[in-house]
Amino acid sequence: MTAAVAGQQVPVAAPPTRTAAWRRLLRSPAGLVGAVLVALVVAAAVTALLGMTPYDPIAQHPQARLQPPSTQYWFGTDQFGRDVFSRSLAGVGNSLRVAVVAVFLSALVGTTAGICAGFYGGKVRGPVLAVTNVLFAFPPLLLALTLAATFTRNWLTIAIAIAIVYVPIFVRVSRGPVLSLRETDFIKAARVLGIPTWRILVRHLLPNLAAIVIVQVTLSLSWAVLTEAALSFLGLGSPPPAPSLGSMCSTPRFWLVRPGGTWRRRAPSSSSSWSGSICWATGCATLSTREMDATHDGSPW
Amino acid sequence: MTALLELADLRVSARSGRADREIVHGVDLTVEAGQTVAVVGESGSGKSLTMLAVMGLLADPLHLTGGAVRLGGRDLTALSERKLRAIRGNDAAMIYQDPMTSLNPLMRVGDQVIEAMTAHGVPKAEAGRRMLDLLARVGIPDPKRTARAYPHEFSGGMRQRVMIACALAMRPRLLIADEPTTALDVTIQQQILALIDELRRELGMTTIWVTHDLGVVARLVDRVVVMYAGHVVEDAPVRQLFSAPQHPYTKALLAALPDPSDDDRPPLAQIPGRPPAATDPVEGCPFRPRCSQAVDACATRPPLQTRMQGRAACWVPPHEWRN
Ligand SMILES: Nc1ncnc2c1ncn2[C@@H]1O[C@H](COP(=O)(O)OP(=O)(O)O)[C@@H](O)[C@H]1O
Ligand code: SF4
Ligand SMILES: [Mg+2]
Repeated sequence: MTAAVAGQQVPVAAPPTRTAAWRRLLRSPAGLVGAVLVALVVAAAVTALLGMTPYDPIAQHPQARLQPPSTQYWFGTDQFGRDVFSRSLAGVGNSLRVAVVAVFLSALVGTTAGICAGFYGGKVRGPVLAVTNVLFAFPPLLLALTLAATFTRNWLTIAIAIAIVYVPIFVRVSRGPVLSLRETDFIKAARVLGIPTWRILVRHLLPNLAAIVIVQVTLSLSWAVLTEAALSFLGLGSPPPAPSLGSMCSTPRFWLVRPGGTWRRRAPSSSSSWSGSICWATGCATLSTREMDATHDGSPW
Repeated sequence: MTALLELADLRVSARSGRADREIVHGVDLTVEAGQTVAVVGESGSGKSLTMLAVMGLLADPLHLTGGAVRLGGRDLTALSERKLRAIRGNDAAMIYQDPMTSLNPLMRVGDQVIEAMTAHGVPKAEAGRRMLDLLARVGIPDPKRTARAYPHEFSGGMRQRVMIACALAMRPRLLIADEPTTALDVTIQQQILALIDELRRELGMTTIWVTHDLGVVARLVDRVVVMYAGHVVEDAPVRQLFSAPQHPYTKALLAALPDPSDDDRPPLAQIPGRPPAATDPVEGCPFRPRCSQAVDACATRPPLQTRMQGRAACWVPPHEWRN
């Protein structure tokens, strides 16, 4: 207690400080492993997006096709003699770029819609929930496929297609808590003080919703990586020759039966499932640290 | 004196399904500028809903079904939400029950007081300066440092002080204190009551104390309005109310007050019967099922009539009461 004034001290959720949160994350084994893996993947993506891969990912070396791993080509080369390591890095970069933009867009749109539907009720709720339910009715991958097939394909339109698929998740995730936050005393108190509604939403509601949205963002990032990989595996991702983890898993299928072809499939597919599982790990780690918080300070999340 | 606040036949209902259930059945109430009034009644008698209606804060399923709220002559029920918002916290402020949860847990205390001012157009720098004065004025030690604290670092009493600072930041003309101490320890209750009363005097605010416990605020008010089941049943100067209650319910309320000077009386005399749900359909006088004075005439609803210095809604005058 800061000031010594008589009265009962009731424990209420404390706003966690940033340093404390980091310390807690790195102290838990899951958190530490997740943080390291995420750092690796992000480093790979940044390397690729800055064009710092060992080889140009789309440069063909006809004299060096289908090479096994070597010191020159770490992951070997593909059927056009392209460096698989460079392509894997570029694929990770592409996946992450698509996933981050997709999740950013869907979180922005979905959370905004969810907050409005939850806070205003009535006229806003109906249409928002109708659209949400329609989007939810499609199997996510099918919807993403349909959308991806409709747009001219580049990484941005694919990100938008994935974003559309994920919007309803953010609507659902944010609307529920808004319904209960709306009834909390401090939101009511803000109205009593004549604070404008937009300010109540941005300064009082959103920060109290942030934790739950952030958890959903981390989970969605991992799903988005996998969705992007699935789309490009099915040939609806970034069009060739752009490197993409999904298409890199898909193309060498034909070479698998060839002698010496087995390993070639492994590098991209494992990095794809890697980045997926890594994001999962972070998501889980975030969740578990949240859970630990919740158990000792009684906060709802 | 001029009337600052006038409620005329104010009705509040709750929508349930297609039907409307009326909860506040036509409250008439005038508060003169500078006056201090207590609104008393058992829990559920519609005190808070009446006050929320004054602030224009009834939220679904509650809504106004009739009557007018005039603040300084202006009918608030006719105003748009934007104009109402400009009045809330500026002309009319409200302090209420739960200080533990009325502050945003993720926002520094000082910022919350500042926001109460910037929301009404006070420049940020000036609001920051006034915030420190306000915190000091409501008895927060070391305002410079405590302004940076988060609500969880504060006790209930301290939080209520912060809420008071927020509510009074714009020097409102009307203050509604709706059971501001119910959630607090008895010792702190007294401090908070005294603080609000001091500030009321200092700022010359017209004040409405809402309470289910007349004993708590009797010393602080000029007039008492007694509500029962969504009706005003008596409205009288505080002295007259205590010395010559004009309504059987008021008399029963007074009998239920603990009286430290009278050892013979049980500490809490009970009013027989169950307090009605404000929505129970009533024919005639709402107090009739519990009234020891009821006569046949009580099957018709008694209007509020002038009695001595005040008004009461009862067919049977005190001199005709049995026992
Ligand atoms: N949101 C609501 N919906 C339906 N009924 C309500 C609502 N809020 C309050 N009520 C009813 O209105 C009555 C009066 O409530 P209130 O004004 O809070 O009483 P008081 O402040 O006098 O204790 C209560 O009986 C309660 O059941
Ligand atoms: S009108 Fe009749 S029932 Fe109502 S309070 Fe008076 S005596 Fe009692
Ligand atoms: Mg109340």
